[in-house]
Amino acid sequence: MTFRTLTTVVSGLLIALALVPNVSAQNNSGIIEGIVTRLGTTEGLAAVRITITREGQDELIGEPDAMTDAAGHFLIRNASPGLYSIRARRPGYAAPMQDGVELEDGGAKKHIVVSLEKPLDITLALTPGAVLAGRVLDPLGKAAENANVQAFLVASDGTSRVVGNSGVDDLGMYRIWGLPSGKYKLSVEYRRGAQIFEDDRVVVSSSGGVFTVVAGPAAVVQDSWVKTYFPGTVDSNRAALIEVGEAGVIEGLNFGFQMAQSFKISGTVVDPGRSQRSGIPDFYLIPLGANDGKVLDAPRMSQNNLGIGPNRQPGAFEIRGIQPGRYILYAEDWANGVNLHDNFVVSQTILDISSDISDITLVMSGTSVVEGVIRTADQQPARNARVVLIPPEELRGHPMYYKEVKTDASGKFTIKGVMPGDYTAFAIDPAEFKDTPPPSSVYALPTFLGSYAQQGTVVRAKAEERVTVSIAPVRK
Amino acid sequence: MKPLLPLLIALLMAQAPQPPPLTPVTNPADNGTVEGNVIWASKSAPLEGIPVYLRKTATENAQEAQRRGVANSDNSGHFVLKDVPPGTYIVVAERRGYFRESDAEIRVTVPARGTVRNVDVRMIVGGTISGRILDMNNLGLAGVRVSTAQAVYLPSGKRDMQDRDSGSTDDRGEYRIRALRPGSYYLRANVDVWASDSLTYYPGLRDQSGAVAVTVREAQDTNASFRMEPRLKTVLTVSGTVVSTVPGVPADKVGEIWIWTRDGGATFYDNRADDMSNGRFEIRNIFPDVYDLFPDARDKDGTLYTSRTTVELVDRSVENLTLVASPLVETRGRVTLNGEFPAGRLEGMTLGVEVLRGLGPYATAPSAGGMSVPKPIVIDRENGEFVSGTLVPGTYRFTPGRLPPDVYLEDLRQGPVSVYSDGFAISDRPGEPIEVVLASPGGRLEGVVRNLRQEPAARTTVVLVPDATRREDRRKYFNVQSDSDGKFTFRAIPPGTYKVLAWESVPGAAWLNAEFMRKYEARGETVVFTKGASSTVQLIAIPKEPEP
Repeated sequence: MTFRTLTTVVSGLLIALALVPNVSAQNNSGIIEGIVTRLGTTEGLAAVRITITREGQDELIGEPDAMTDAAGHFLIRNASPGLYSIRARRPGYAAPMQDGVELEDGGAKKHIVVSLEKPLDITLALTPGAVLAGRVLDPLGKAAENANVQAFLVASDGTSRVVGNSGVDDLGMYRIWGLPSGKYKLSVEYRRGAQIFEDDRVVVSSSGGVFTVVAGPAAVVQDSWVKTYFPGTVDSNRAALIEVGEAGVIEGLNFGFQMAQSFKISGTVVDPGRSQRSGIPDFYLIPLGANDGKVLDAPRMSQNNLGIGPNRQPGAFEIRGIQPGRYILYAEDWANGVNLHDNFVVSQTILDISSDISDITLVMSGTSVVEGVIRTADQQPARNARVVLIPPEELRGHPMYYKEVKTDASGKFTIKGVMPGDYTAFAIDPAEFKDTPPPSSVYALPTFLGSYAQQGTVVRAKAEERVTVSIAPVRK
Repeated sequence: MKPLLPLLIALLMAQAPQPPPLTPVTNPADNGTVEGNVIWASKSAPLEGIPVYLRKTATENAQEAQRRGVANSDNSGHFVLKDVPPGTYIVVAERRGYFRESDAEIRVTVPARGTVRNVDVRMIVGGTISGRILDMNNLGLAGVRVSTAQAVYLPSGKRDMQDRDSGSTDDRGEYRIRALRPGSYYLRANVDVWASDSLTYYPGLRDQSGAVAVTVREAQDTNASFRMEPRLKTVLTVSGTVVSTVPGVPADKVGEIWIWTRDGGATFYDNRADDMSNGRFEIRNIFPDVYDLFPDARDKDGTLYTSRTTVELVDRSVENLTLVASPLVETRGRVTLNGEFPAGRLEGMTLGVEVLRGLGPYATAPSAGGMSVPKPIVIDRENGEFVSGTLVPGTYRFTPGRLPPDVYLEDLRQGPVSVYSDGFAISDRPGEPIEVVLASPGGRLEGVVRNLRQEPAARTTVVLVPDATRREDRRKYFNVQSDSDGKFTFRAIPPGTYKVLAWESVPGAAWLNAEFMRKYEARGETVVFTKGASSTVQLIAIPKEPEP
């Protein structure tokens, strides 16, 4: 007998063994079934992703537990007993505000308790998201191919955040869908600067102050073709407010690129520990709004026009096509081979740009580590508590300055990569919000701070230092 | 401006003393001009707005090359590149959605202060595919990825489809894939979720053998709408306990379970048990199939203890499974060439491990920072004996590498039994030694490949395919590329009957695919090798076939 046949026999035995203990599997599981309808109808919605998430754990959005069939029906068999939230998502659809169902991240959500006694029967409803669409032309009247259109949702206090975007195709068309209802501003701009990846098929370079976008738009993109707001202004304060209702579709939002004076800035990043770093820092040029320092736009990476290659001096950068105004120039780099935002160095400076600026020097320094333990009211370690650092007021429009982590089983947390500065820290213990939804994401800032501002703890983060803090969890 | 340049270079060198600039300094006054036309080949019409630049070599970085200057063709298709330092260049015209008519490089030599005129770049204009993806209720499906797909052949010879260009559907279910080279394409759609069982081929079929290709024509839009039914595959959970035969193992929790499947090879799953104490494990999101499970139990030094357990997952999860962690064994063996070990003759030879069923040596090497690198097998230089590293229970073959040019693998033996085909089994006890039987001299085949016009065909793929009885053995296939004169040489061919074929272009290792070979079989020349035989052959390359 060869080894091969022996192995087959052993495998056969193991299969038999493996299948024996399996009989009781059904008895330990709860069943959840239900239907997802189109809002206001009894019509089932197909292809809806259903995810159940244990209370206190993170939702695995890409790993749904079920999908609805043609009748909108779904079935989950293997839920062990406990407290869950159940979510229904279908791209392009949103959940309306209703009793027990809240609007969050484009899906319908309910809190449920799974038990072994009886199957749960759930009904959820979705409604199509709003749509903004149109056509964008460059100043030569051609399709603004490869430009990017962003939709800013404007809050009642005038702050805005990007909630959707769309590329512009070869016909100049854009379409931003799946939007919550509300008031919007639209902007369009080109990606500028040297692209690192040639595979991208958008290779951008510059010569003589003119940007040539190879394999890209229909025309040469000039420095003066600046970010333009609908219906055709470079001033975000004069952008039209477009109001769209639930499931509303507004098409024909056509506009064209405006030309305006623009400037370039250049300089060098000095990093004492450069050999440990990638040496290719990312740059962010963050506009500070004219009105009381309130930030209007979300930050986006600004391309360093000096591409990588033998011709670039170490640390040299140039950013072009900047409209006059007050900006934060922020640069960050991280340790070689570690593409995680917990081991990086940063530098930032505030610039008033009203002409070209050269010889800017940014000196990189290490970030701060903030750590501590969160305890419940009865001094027990709070597991899965959310710890949030909120930046100083002038930076509150920028998600990148916020930090959010969860505590481990012993209530400990560590936040790495914190830009030095004064922060307000909050801890949210899920147990405190067992019956009601906990405060939603920190990015919905005015709501959160409005309710809990007095419960914050001031944290001073210093460069290259570890700061240990004690934070009391927020009370309802 | 002129005096500035040397100063600038001096400054640059001062800041970065190494390496010195690669480009020789030329006098800007000597610069020349390149001008020509971009032409829509099929219409003999001018093409406007195509950026043109010059590359020094075919591999020069595009950004670097463009820094010397880019010219857009004007409305009569004309372009002018000025201020070009004297030298030889390749003219490049690149824009998304436009394709060169011919692959041949356009080379120009710019003399000092000279102008190169009438450089014609002939191009093909791409087309688009657009349409709508509907769900079972005829509602547009948003967020669906629609891709063009082309038939490819995997290293195993299996035919498969691979995504090329893609687009995403909007809220109406509409998509548009642009910048496609004219030709025919398969189309498929999928939704972006784990365990998706939704892959659908145009015109709405789940089975790729029924896929219908759509034709893209120059500067035209082809409509292709179809219906799909998004659904999920069944996923199951396996849970239980890892027990050890050795005290102190595992030293810590079992963080991973390795899994081997016939089609998927070896992979590992994270232990997602809420409580991992006492060897508890739970692995989730596993598709129904037959698996070999290997617990990753380590002692305090990082040495692996494991064993193989075969589990068949049909339609329900498996609980309370016991996996055993046992010490692993090494395998001994020796290398022979024509019945002996000629000291010195096999210098530099390597021995690899091919996994037929199991995990191979990667899992057993102590992991350092997440990466496990197996130790190479060392062959004793005096007597050819070797000891493999530990292998987890399974079935393996040894694969010799870097052999002298006339030496081939004749057999693998374990005692009296040939394990050449089926491999040798590893259990938790040492087995009999393995003999790696090498022989020489192998056969030799030389030849020239020509195209249909009888010109020498460079860079064709020349393949030796074994006769029908040995087609299952990938180790009996050999391939080389013809050189710039169309010449090729095979060495160390094991005795037997083969067919030899040459292709101008062949997708992957398509010759391993029986269906593919049926199409071309008759175009091969038969060659028979006895030990050490030499022959020559003249071949006509099989021309490039239109895709897919």
